[in-house]
Amino acid sequence: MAASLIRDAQDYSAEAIAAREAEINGKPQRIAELQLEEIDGEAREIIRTIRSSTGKESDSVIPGYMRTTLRHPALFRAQMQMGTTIFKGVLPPRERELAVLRIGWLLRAPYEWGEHVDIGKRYGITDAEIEALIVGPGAPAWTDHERAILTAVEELLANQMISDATWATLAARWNEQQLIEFPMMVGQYVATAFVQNSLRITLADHNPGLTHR
Amino acid sequence: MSVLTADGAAARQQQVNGGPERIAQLPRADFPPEAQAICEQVFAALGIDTPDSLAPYFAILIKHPGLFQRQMEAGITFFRGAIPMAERELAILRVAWRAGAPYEWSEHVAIAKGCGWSEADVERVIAGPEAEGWSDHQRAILRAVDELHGDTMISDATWATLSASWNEAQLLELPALVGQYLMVAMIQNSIRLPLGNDPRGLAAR
Repeated sequence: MAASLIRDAQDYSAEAIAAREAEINGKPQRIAELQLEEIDGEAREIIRTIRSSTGKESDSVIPGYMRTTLRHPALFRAQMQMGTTIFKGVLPPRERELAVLRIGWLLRAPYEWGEHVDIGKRYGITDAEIEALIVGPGAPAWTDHERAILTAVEELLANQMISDATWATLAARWNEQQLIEFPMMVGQYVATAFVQNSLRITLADHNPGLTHR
Repeated sequence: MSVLTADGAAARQQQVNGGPERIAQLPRADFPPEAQAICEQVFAALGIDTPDSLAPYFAILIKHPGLFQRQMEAGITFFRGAIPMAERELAILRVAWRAGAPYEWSEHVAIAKGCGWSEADVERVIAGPEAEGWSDHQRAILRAVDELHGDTMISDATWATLSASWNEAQLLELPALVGQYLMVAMIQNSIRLPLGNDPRGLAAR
């Protein structure tokens, strides 16, 4: 009964995918990314803090997405901290990535989908499961719990609420912290897709977008 | 499904708030030290003492203290953000209405009125961007919400109108703001958060 984030016509033909990628990434970024020499001390400190908390090298390449959102340092800090908290959160990483990939696919978000194909594989998602994520919760690949995760994603995107049946299945396996984290994690990755798509963030060299498998 | 009509609001509210909350509030006496410390940090950032009784939303989220802290910090960031507060509330109201979020809607009707919007303006948010009476800029804010919520992207025409009035930080903030308040709607609806100060929920004007 809420408005749906999922398009009525689910067309995932090669032509439709190409058209979507052209819609988003067929033009230059709407806000230019900062050049490295424009990133000042405060911004570098935020990046260093966030990276040390995730075990990344503090001086490795700063992705274009981060160099763009750094134009609003307070927002950059809040979003990175939320992202880090969710990344190191209470949901099993593989289960989180199943959800993120389904979100990226349903929202037809090239940057998010492509990045999380690689991240998901690092957490054990197989090539066959990537294909099954495109099919959705109805694919035969899933356990009841995994199917409930993918169904909950669709319910949140389509109706902005998890149904009783899906909640009950999730609650059979997850504790209260995990049940709180899940809808917030979904919201976080929806917000990320909104920003990445709206700014037309350039895909990284390793990221072919919605065709990534 | 299409955007909620005023007639459909009662059924939606029943769907969200017709059952008991799915996660119980944590009584203050049961707060672990970490939760107490985080509460004090968060309310200090707001410039107020930690209240004796937390709003139900906070008393549920505090069961996950790390996430509670991040959520509150993000909320403070947007409240002190680059977008003027009356325009911010216009966007949030449209998000809350589209998301059929009774708690968020009624809470932000009150905040929007504190920013100068009238009851008639609130009605016009429900009618949407094509309603009579919006300035081009206001209409573009509402359109951006609808475009994000419908196509996960702001169109060129809407972006151009927003760019005529807003700087880069404001433009960057809008899709993040819409995402943030959609996240709040998703968690509040999913835990069946009981209505707060305004029991009218989606009927608030």
